[in-house]
Amino acid sequence: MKRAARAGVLGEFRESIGDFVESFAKLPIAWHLATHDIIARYRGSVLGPWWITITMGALILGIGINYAALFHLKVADLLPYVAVGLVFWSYISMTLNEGGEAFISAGPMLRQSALPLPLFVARCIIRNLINLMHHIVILVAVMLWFRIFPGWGFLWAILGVVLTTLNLGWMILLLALSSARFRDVPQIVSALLQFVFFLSPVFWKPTQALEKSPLVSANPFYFAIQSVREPLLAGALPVEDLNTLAPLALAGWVVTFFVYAKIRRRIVHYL
Amino acid sequence: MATINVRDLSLYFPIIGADSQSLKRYLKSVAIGGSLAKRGSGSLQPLLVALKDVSFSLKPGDRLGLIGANGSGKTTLLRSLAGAYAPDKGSIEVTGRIASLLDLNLGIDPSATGLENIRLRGLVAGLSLKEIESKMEAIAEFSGLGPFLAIPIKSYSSGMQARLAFATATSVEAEVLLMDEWIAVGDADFRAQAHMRLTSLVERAHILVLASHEPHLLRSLCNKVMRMDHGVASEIVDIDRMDELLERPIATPAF
Repeated sequence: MKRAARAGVLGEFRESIGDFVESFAKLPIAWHLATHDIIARYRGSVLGPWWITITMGALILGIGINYAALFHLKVADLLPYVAVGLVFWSYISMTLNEGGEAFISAGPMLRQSALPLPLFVARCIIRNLINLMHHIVILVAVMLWFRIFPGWGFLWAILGVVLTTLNLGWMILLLALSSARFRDVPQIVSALLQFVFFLSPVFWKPTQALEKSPLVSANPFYFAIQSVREPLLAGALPVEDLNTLAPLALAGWVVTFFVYAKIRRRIVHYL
Repeated sequence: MATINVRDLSLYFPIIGADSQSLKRYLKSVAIGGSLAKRGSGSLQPLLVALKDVSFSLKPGDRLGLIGANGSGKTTLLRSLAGAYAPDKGSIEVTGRIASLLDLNLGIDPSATGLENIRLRGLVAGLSLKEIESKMEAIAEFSGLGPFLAIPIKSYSSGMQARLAFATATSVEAEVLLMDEWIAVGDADFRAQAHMRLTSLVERAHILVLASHEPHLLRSLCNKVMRMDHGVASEIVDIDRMDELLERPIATPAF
């Protein structure tokens, strides 16, 4: 274990890269902490994380059937659309909501061990991926009921999940870094997410007129959801969505890396 | 082989959410705690000097006791040795596996059972799951908690929690053991056991750094001692000369 004072910009970059490499090597720790988080949260509950799945299933049924009647749409069209949309949106929004707390909640651990910071971002993502796995049951049920078989689309959907997760990674690292210092950030994020949820085509379909609105054409959350929804429901390779998500992930990680290298030393003091 | 090398280590804590001017005036009159400094001109955020130009090195077999008033930097120094802080000046180099027993509650989930918490603590301390499982029996036995390991630790007394934490941390096969003095919460029986365990750790040419306010605890476990005052470290002296260190007047912080 070696810790030294700042040694120029390059030295800071080297140490930052070291943090990421070490976090990667210690992924089993992140995995164990994440599973423990879920066990701890639902201790004493019989259904545990399945409760969110049930709540979400009820919401999907409600919106799918009700909105179909209100707007004269076919349930067979709307319900699967809403199901994939809500399940994946909840993964995105829960991850972003919890991301800000990633370092704050690990304060005691960070203050007395040499564990690298990005490890706790991984913990947050793994925890939410596990929750997402629970919700997949809903999607399987819906797709069986409406006899939708994505074929290869299944693989493209996984690609969509991976690219979205890569983007969530840099987003919550940025959030966790800023929340450590400014405790308002998690609150602001949760207010904004509520707003974005209604503005983004998660449970409503954009009309042709809306397609050109920035709500749809410049909304990274919409691209993320479509990158999973299109392949699952239409079996198509969502070229446009993936073409947006990949460069976004790259640019996001480059910017986040610089921010990380700049302020990583101070984070423990803020906790 | 375990070694500790600390060179010119300085550590500053930013103070957030406090009026720097009035705080500074007030802190001048207080004898405990670190000293305050101003970050470069133009910045209003005051800095707390937690450690200032600390240099020392330890070799295998050294058992260093840290003494000093509350807030003199003992725990901060221990945390730095654990690798939690990035120095503002100087460097810390520790070779060998580190086990730190600084916080009784590290990685501890009160509603989880003793066994689950051993796993959590072990992981945070750097053990793999496989290693933990292989050591589980020994840890359980040493903790002496028996059937209590299967119940949630929120029903433990603080002494029982200390047993669990100590048993887990010392099973890490660490070459460098960092301890804050809370180990004193165990009962006499456990303290005797802990003492034997620590002695055997040190006999295997390992290093111990222990912060404590108890002269007799330090005399029984350590062979060297260092005093901290407002983040400044004294020289390391032999344990026999501890009284000499204790009698020194507290230096007033230099602003």
